[in-house]
Amino acid sequence: MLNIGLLLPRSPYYNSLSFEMSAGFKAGLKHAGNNDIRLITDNIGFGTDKQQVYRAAEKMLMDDDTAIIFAFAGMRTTQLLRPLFMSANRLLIVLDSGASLPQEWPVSPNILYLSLNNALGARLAAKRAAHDGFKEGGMVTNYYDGGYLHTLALTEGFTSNGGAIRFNIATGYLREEYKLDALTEHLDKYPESCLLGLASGDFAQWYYEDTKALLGNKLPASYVAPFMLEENLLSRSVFNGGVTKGVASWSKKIVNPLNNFFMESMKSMGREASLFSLLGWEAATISASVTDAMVQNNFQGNLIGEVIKTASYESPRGIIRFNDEWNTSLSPMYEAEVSVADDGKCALNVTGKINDIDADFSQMVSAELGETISGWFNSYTCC
Amino acid sequence: MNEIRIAILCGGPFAFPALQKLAFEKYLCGVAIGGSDFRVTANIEEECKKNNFAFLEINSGRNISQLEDWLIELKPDAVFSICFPYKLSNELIQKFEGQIYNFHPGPLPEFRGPAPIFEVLKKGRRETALTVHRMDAEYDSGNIIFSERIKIEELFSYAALAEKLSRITGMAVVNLAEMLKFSRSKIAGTVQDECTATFYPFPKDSDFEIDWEKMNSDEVLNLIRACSDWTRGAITWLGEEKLRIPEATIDSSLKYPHGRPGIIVDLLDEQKWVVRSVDQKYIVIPQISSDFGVLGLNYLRELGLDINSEFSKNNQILNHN
Repeated sequence: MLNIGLLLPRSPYYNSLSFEMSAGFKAGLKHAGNNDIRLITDNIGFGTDKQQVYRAAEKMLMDDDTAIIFAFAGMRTTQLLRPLFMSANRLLIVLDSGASLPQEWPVSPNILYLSLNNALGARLAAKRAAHDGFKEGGMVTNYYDGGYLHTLALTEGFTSNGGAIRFNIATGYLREEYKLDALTEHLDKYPESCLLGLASGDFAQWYYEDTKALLGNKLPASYVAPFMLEENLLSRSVFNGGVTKGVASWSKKIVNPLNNFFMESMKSMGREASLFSLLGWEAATISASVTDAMVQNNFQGNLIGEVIKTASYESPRGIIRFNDEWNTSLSPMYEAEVSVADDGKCALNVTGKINDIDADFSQMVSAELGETISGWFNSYTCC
Repeated sequence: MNEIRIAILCGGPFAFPALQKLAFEKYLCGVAIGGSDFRVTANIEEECKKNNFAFLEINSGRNISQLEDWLIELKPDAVFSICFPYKLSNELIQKFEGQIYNFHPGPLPEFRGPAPIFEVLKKGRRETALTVHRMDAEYDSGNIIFSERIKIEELFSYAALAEKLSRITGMAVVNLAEMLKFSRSKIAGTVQDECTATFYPFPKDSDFEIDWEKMNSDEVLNLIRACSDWTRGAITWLGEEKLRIPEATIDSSLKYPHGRPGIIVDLLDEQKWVVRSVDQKYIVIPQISSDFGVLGLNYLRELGLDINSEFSKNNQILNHN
């Protein structure tokens, strides 16, 4: 029996995050038919207490003798754990929102990123805006999401495809500080602009609400990052009446047998499928496929990491593989558009599949950052 | 001050990012510097005074004993050595057993010794590492805590690689400090594999010399990159004049008749010397220096450098004479 660790955070925006992730893992393991893996979980709070995060990982490595540890964590938490995993030569697989850019921190052979590719999706959404004919645009983000470098991916996706950023709006953190009033002035000045939306959780919900209230039928087209297309969030968000397009990492609307099976599996456990249960499912798929390799390589993290990188994995969102240079997973992404649901809230339509994402990923990771890195210490971004 | 107090032993600017990061994160309690020029030393001393960090300057290997007294008084929880130029005594290492860590700017155990950046570039490696290890009585042989792999880009000079390693060291010191702070037990590390260990002593002048008769174009280029800004360039001789080549490229599009290596076959744009290598490839040299600085075209011509001149190795001239 192999022990696999799962470090789970708490989220102020998404209470059931931990449950969904571990439920996804269990369902994925069942689907893989693997009975040789025991899942060990631990809580790392919000990921801000370094001592708590470090001790939890250390305990899993030393006391629980885990072969691989998965952690839903951001880059900073990962950096805290990096020397521990290198020193112990074990493998950490970060369940990654993908809001940071891979080049922000050095690559380590003991760390892989199983990513939701939010930054890449943001880049592709902005590219889509440019290809739809928009020459001008403005980024609309907030205090929280604006602290990650998916902002750079979004704006570069637009400018490198012929667009020009005319304005940026970053709202405050609290509901009463979330103000888009400046949009009217910007749009008066640049009436041909589209909006490039970057938000997660409540901020995304407020975006849809406030753009409707503020701009009504004068609302320009929005091109939004993957987190703004998360369907559970959309089902709570009022439809703003405008055109909202974007690129999603995964959707319930993706038509393939495994996605159907995944959603049914989650339903049978009393849960709606989500991005978090998807990550859990994928973590189980990867774990199950390398159980032999773990033993053969004597649990040495750097070697198991190499084995994982040479294979590809079937997921509800398509085939996942790892970029060898950046240790980051890539998978197909989906062109999507927000529509109105029967209850006046938002729904998502998947309109196309983007298989060829390597060139955009390469361009994204080639951006020179200088001393620019994401500023947030919290564990992760989430939708 | 953080609960963990760290003293740094360093040799100069390479340690600046590490000092900044440890000071910012409130781990730093003292800095000992050795072998650096007076301006660097004065700057660090001033910063230490401003921030209430202990400071010690070691002028030579002979007064290294001061370091022991200084550390005993300072009582740091850990000592990080970053390119400190003097060997610590066994007594000192024993006294602070398990508390001294070295940040070695090269892969271990393959590149032990005091100049790993030079050796790695000279060997034309495409990857190097910053290796963090415990310090023991031998050079660079203690247990490895972790190592950061670093890709070497095609055009990396000595300074470019040193700068990259320096920045990574700035990150690694905080990584190790956090490990020491949060780990519930002693960090053991991994024993080095002696079978793959190589110790490179500090290079002699002859190690910087281009041997045109034996070294192929890649080897010449690797040596030039390894020396570049560190020694003002790889050494070659024009008769009895010692010259230095700080940068060069191989231009595979150039075609000239085959012939002896080390011969200057062309001068491009009145500034780039083209030299034939033993594998009949052509090395383009945009700049030539002496021990005193960059030499202009007219002065080089006065020295006798022109098309058909021959670069050679020092002992060849002596032998000819």
